[in-house]
Amino acid sequence: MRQVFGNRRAIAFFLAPALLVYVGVIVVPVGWSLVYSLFTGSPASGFKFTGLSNFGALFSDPTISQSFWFTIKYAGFLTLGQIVIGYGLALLFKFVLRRSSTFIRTLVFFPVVLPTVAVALLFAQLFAITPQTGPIDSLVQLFGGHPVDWFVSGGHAFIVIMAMDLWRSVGLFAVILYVGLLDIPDEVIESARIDGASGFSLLRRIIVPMSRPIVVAATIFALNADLKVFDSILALNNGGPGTATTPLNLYMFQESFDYNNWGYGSAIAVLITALCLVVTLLVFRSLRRDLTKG
Amino acid sequence: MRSHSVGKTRRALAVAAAGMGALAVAGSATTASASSSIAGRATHARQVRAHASDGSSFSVLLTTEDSQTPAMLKQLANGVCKTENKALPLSIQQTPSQNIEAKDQLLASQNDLPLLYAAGNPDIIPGGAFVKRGDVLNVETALKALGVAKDMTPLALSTTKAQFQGGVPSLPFQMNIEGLFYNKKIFAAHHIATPKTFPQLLADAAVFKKAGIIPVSASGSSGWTISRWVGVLLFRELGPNAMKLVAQKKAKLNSPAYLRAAEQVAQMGKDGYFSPGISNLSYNAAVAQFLDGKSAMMYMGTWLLAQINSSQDKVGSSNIGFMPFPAVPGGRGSINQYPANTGSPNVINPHVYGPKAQAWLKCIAENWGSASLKSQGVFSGFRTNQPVAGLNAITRTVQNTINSAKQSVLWFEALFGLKANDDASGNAPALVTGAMSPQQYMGILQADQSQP
Repeated sequence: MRQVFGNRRAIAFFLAPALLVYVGVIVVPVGWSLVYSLFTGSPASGFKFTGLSNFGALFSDPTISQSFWFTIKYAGFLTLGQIVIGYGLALLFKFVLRRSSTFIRTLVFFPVVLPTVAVALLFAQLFAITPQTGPIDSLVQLFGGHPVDWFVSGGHAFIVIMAMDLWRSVGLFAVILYVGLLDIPDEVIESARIDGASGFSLLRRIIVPMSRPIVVAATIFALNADLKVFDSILALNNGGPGTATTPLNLYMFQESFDYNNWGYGSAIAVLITALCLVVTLLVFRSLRRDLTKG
Repeated sequence: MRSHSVGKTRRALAVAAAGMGALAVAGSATTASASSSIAGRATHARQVRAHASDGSSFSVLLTTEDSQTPAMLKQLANGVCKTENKALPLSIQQTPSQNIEAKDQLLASQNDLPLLYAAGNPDIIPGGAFVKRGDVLNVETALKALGVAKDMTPLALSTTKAQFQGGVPSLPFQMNIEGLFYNKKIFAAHHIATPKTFPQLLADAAVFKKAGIIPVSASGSSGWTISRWVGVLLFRELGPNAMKLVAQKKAKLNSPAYLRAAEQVAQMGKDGYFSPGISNLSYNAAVAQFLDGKSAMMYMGTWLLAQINSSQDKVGSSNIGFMPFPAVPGGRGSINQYPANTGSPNVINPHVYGPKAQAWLKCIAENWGSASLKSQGVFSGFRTNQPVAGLNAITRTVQNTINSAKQSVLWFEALFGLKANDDASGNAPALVTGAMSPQQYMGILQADQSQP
């Protein structure tokens, strides 16, 4: 094995196909977008070099600021939910349900395999008020409340989006974190128990520190996925009302393909790239020490 | 020394991994925009060929939402235009309206637009991107050359010219006017006559609301069903040039005179006159609400006749009336000025407009009007060359109204750019639910319009 890793040709042979695909599908388009961001126009009307004007426009566009902060809020809350609930479920699988957790794990994971558009349509109906009152408003009425129009404002719609995307994705994080918990040797846990650790102290002093690498990985994975949210919101309410729940990715799509501002859309894409890079670096930086220890 | 270098390596790996992760994420965001060719740059100077040759088929690209045009084309292909179809077989593709602009752009950049394609207004007005490229046939000239210019009605011609700033780039597959469809039974049950002024309409709406009837059906998902109220109030209050002045930058949407219309519509929302739960209510659900007899009125174009004349209508066509939008007291507009349009734009690509395509166009011009009225009960901008018998009351009412209409006006968003168009519709639910103030609503639209 050492011989193989010492052989540069072997390394190149194994890495080249993946690297080629990565460069072709990811790196080249990112570079291409960077070039587009220096132009204005569309394929039909042609492109004109305008330097950094698209980036200048980012600062004077009120929708960008709204979309930016919505994206941060969405990614922050959803990642927190995914990791906390996912970790809770993973602990439940590992320490409470143990071997009988297979059925529950399947149930929790089930929404992950559903098409996003189907989930969005399902939630639109769950929270509908007309033409038929949906189950959520029916429950509200049952407890004596007034039916709520859940899509009337950005704040209300945010609750629906959170509920939908948590339900849709938390199973995946529960399974990822569960696999991380399985990696903790039983002997370590047993030794800790013999030494008197139990319940919360076992969790705080043994389980959490030892599962930190997988939590960090899951957090970065969740943050990056959540920062690029697009399809679920598009299908649920198209970022409405107005642009109140429009994330950056959706706004980029609208500018590029609905309004033919390809250059400006590409500038937004560059902003998303920068945002993802900064957030990922911040997460790495804040948890680096623990990561290297783990 | 070693630990320092290991630490450095780990840090470098961590940063590289972070960078790759972020790049992967953003890459997926940018792939779509980058995957298309930049070839559009070189296409400006393309000229319309003097003698275009036909393609292999009568290729058509329409929106998925447009069910009427494909049905009519198929009917003609299997009927009166059979010979033309044999020479140039009909081949229809449909794509959701949200994607049609992007699809048109890519096809245009590859010089691969179909013979007939749905397009956005800004691309096909004089000076628009597709016009500059020579991808838009002048329908008026083409019909004259085929000797069938008389088959396009004068109202359709003048409406098309108003709609497309003097150009005639689109086939008038429909001839719609907009107004208020109302449920005669509900009006009669409450002893209410059709309102002649807007304050009367509001008073009637209050009566319906009190009786537990939805006064006005409208859809938040298709917000234009709300924003049209703002537009028609502007036309009634400020006169037929209200929106033209905005397009010419001689008036501002957020000025007090224009703001008033948005305030009145917002007040209607506040008073609960629009469909409850309007924010996410779909267009079909709003139409169904009216055709199920749950609401008293719906502001809509006469394309609604297709649904009224179908099994979807539970009220019965004889119980549905059509009235002009009432006058605003002291306003400069008239109750007889109907917002009118010739349907969503459908353009002919001159590059594949050969002799066989010309034969098809001639057949369409001569037969579309009668066939459309007979099979769908929908009026088009083509003359009805064969008399159509057995029209129901509401269809006859609309026919008489169209025939007697002296002056038409455009609709609220007709002269807007793509972004203002989207924002007018997208923010309309927020306007009537109070989530957005009239000042904010009109301010956003004015900002969109002020962009170069």
